[in-house]
Amino acid sequence: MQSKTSLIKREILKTIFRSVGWVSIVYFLGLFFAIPLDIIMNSSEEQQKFLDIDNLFQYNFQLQFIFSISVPVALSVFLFRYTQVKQYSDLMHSLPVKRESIFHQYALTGIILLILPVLLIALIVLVLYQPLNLQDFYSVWEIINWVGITLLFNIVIYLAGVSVGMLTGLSAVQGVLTYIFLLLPVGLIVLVSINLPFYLFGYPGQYYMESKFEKFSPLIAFTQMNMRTPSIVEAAIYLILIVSLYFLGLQIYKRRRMEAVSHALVFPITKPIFKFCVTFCTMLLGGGYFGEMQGGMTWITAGYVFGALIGYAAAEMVLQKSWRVTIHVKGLMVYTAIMAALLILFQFDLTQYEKRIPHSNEIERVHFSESYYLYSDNDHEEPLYLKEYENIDLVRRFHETIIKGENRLAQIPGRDSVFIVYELKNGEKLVRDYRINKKEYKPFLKLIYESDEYKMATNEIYQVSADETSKITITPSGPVTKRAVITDKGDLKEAVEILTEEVDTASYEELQGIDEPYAHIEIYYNDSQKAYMTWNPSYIRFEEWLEKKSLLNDAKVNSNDISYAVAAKAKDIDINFAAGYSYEEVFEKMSDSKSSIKITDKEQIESSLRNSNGYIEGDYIIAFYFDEQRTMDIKSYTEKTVPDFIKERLQ
Amino acid sequence: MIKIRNVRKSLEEMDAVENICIEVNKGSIYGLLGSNGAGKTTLLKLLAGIYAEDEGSIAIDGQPVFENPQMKDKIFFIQDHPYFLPQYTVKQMAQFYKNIYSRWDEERFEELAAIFEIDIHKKIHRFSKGIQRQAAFILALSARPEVLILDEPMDGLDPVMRKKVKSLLIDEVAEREMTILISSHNLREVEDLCDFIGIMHNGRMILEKDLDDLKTDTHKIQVAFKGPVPALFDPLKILHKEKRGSIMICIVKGDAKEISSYVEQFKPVIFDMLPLTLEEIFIYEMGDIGYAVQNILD
Repeated sequence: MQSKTSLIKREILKTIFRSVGWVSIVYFLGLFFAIPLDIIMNSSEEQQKFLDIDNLFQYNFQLQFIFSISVPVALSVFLFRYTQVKQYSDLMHSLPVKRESIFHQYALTGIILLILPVLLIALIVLVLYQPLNLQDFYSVWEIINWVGITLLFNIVIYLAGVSVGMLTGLSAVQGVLTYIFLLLPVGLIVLVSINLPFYLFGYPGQYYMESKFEKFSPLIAFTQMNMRTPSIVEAAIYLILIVSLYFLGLQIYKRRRMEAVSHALVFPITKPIFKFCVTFCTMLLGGGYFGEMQGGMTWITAGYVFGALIGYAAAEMVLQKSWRVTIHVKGLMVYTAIMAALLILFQFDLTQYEKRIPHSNEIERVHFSESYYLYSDNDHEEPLYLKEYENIDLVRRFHETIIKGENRLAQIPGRDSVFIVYELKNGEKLVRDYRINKKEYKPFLKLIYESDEYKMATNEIYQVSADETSKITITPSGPVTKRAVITDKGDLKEAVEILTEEVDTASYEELQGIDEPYAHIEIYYNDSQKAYMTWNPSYIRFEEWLEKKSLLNDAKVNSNDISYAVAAKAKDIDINFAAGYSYEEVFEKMSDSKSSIKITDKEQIESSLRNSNGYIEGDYIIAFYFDEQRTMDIKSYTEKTVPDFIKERLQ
Repeated sequence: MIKIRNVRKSLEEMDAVENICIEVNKGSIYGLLGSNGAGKTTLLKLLAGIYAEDEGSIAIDGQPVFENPQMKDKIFFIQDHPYFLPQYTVKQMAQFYKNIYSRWDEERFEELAAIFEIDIHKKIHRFSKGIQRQAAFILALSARPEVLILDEPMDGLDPVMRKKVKSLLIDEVAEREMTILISSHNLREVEDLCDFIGIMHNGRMILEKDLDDLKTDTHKIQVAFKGPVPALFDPLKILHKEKRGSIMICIVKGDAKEISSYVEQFKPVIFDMLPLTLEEIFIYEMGDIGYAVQNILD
């Protein structure tokens, strides 16, 4: 009789295994296919030579990933079917067993069903470890690590499914909501990062969006498990999540009203929460989308209205389990009022977020560039920092002017971007991102860009010592194979000195020039190091020097490389920019066009080359035909830059 | 034994059951009647401990049912559409219940399986609806419950099977004082089974009756007199009166002996006391709540 009243009912466990045991078996077979089978198939010495594997995740990681995000959710759905089917629920809940006891038995058995396949696979790998020389690739510790990480993720995802299942009365909703729940942290970060810049002037959305947000969702974090091992803190957070999700699920289950089975959401209070959360997210999505694609307050507002309406309707459809729903206008009005209040609240800038600029004496150094990527791109060395007081002050004043002068609503994409990071002496960072029209801020930009510190930081040539230079190659930009090479000691020294001087004296206007560089220069120094720079057309003294050294012919494209050119007015040539175009097509069209002219005179070609812009969008288009590679390069002129003879002939 | 006091339960913000009070004595069979949507199933599920009551109290032998395994161990609930664990055979279902219900009687199970001639090794969902219902009865009775709760149990059973089930239930009640609550939308289906009936309409109990009382209490009499009809009926409690020629037909409430001795005083030419069907009693008893009653009589 004692066993009858015990907590664990053998028959309940039996029925769990009978109904969901297959999930565990499928998982085992899948993992077996992904890992041990792969090991066995690649076990010959010959094959092992080509293996690049240092942990268990790297065997068919995509498969493992798919299993880890689908099996736990599927298990939670199938396991708790008895809470989602009315008759099943009535049967289970009429039994003389406490709900708490039923939950423990189901939820824990589910965990065991997830653990068993993983442990078995680990065991099989351990058996194969010695015979197949797996120690050449990874230690036994990696196997244990794999078990630990896989189980942490699986169980968190599974228990998320269980907890969500307790809130809903439909299996399908349980599955979908589980994924939404697991992706929500990341989704919200992305949506907020996209939308906040519309309201918080200077908010660097991209900076926050790209700062390791993937850790906030187990689903996304798992995608990196073949490359990194989670930290102790992460593992601890997952353990805490496991315990709290388990007891959260239990508490919700104890309060669950069984009569609400087959409702999308069991607890009435969750219905408005769900509805407004969906509305809020789709609103941010709509606004963010149109804000990024089109910009401007009209588009953003339209995006918000559109997104909110769709989200609200979709949420109603889920709750009412039909697509033919009556929309509760009252709720929508309440929502609109709250959003309007929130919008007004942002206008006050209560935290002084928009106005805050650190004092000069607080600032350790400042990063100043035109894009977040110039700051974050770790392939390069440390990003550019300005430390001199004068420059820090310049950036501050520039920043001040932006805050005073810019219309925050004009933060549309397509304008020039300014990215500023103040690193303060107390270790904090203040990050801002603005869209401005660079021309309006020329005085500031000129001073910053022309400052020695900025030039030193942005030009690699300053690291080159003229004496240590071993070789300089000058590769012309254009479809030619020629290039100029300097190896003579004396010439090298002179060249480096002239180039340094050119960079030194280059003005802001020249640096901002959009002309295509004549050539790309690589300077080899200190044995293995290489400095890179471009030869801007404004470096006239360098050109003269090259001519003196008779290197000019090889250093840039000239009329000798070109057999003839074809020029035409852009409006006469029908180029479909939207659908894409190839140079060959454009060239053919230009050649066929009656209104185009052919230029064969070398001198005319030379002067055509000099003034042309390296892109195709201009008032006049010119195509140069390169004999050597039988290919063409297409450039353009504006009304101002077009050579007179072309203009005249095209009249 | 079963005491339901002022119970209210709302489903989807509507009161499914409101202010219900029922008392059922040990060893009696209580029939819960009402049309569809009257709240019978909700009340039974409250009693089976599946739903929690919003207000009021439900107690068996003074103990609450909800989340009380000791009490639920003595209760067995058969749903309106019997449901079994997926893919289970009768035998497996029996094993399941044997593990769950402490008073499970394996001998009784085998005995019942033999009586109903059911193949216990066949998966239940392959059986027809009627056989599934029989299987549910076999399993329920084998669990030896003190309280058996049946939601529309006669649906889908043929008359022979109905009779078999009814006699089994009556035996069980007689033998070990099992208490049965049975819901139905049809009075005729359960009138020969129940001691008490309660009629529900729109979540409320509109009538509760002891059937034995009702039957011994209400009479149909035919009388005829020579000459004018004396004012003899005034002291009698008459539910219905009609005249066919010189014969008067009355439905009268009261003790049969008292009525006949009273009528005899007036020397009627004809005097007959006829038995009434339950159906007739209800029709005459409750003119007002007609709709609810009409439905359960269909």
